[in-house]
Amino acid sequence: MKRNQTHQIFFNAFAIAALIACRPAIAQDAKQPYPTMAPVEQYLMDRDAEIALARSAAPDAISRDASVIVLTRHGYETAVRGKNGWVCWVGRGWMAMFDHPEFWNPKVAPQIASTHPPPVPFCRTPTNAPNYSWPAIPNSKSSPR
Amino acid sequence: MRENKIGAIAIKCFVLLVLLGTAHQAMAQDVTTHYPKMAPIDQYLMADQGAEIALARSAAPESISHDAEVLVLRRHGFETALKGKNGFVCIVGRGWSSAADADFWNPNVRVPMCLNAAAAHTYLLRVTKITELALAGRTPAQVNEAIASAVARKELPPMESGAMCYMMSKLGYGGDVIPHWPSHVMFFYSQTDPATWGANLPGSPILAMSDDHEHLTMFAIGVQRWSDGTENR
Repeated sequence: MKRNQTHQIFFNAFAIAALIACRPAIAQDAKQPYPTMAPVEQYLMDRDAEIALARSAAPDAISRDASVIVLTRHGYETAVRGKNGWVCWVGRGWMAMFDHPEFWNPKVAPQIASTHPPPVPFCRTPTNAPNYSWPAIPNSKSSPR
Repeated sequence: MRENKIGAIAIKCFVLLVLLGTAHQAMAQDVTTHYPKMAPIDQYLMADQGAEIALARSAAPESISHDAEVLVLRRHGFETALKGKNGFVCIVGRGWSSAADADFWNPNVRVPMCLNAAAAHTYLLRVTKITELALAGRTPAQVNEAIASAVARKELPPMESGAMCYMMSKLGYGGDVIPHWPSHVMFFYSQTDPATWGANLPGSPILAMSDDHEHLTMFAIGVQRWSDGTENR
């Protein structure tokens, strides 16, 4: 129970951070564009597309064998049973704070991959994925920076 | 056997894992001969304390390092040069704690790092212990054994939850094997399976190395910018 609560807190915090960090312009420009819940259908996706989107959260080496849960009318359900302990899913706007302007935005769909245990989610969205790269192996003792 | 496995701390493992390929092991062995024994202690010290403080702080963005405690190296170990107020501690690691094995005695190594409070309570104690042992003239093998024993006897504590450090300086010198490290942050855990982070898998931005002897697992994630905000290229 405690672990589940920890997961929820972590996921919520992450979603908040992602919404704030990744979409500042939207948050600033639109104060309350989504004051109420949209029809449930607008929060749902094509099942295969949702699986693919969820898996896009992590490199293939991680997401390929991950479980995938997808959103249905009454909550998340397992769509793919994995075997490496990871779970990929597509979050929705209500992962943010209750008063966040994107709370009911049916277009919000951060991708998340997490393990259990311990909870280690990370999110890479196509539009703002950091360009992580490590330098080449130095080929001499005097390799310049 | 012990010397062949792992250096005194996981940073060495990280260096070897990330930046050294099989082809470069020969190079590492070559440079070993450059620093076969300890140099005069003065060569490991920075005469200008202000410069060492500035270098240590360069490990993290100014918003973090500005209020951090700063330790500087003296003849017998690290000492507090500036008291902080945000829980972070910045230091400049030397070869025996912060470089590849071949650079253990390299007096030119300067590796800035800023550790958060959790890491300062745990991981930093290993760095300072290693430093004291090295300055006392212990061999790398003796240092390794002493640290492993101290961990086993719980004289050195396990990693605290949330222990991490910033290593975002572009001013440091990692040694002859790895002159300049990429900008990154590190997370310290007591023996955790790297697979739980997806570390070291193809495409994963997370690198990890476990040291069974020290019951330590370290994760490193490259970041886009140096601590001064410039692009990490």
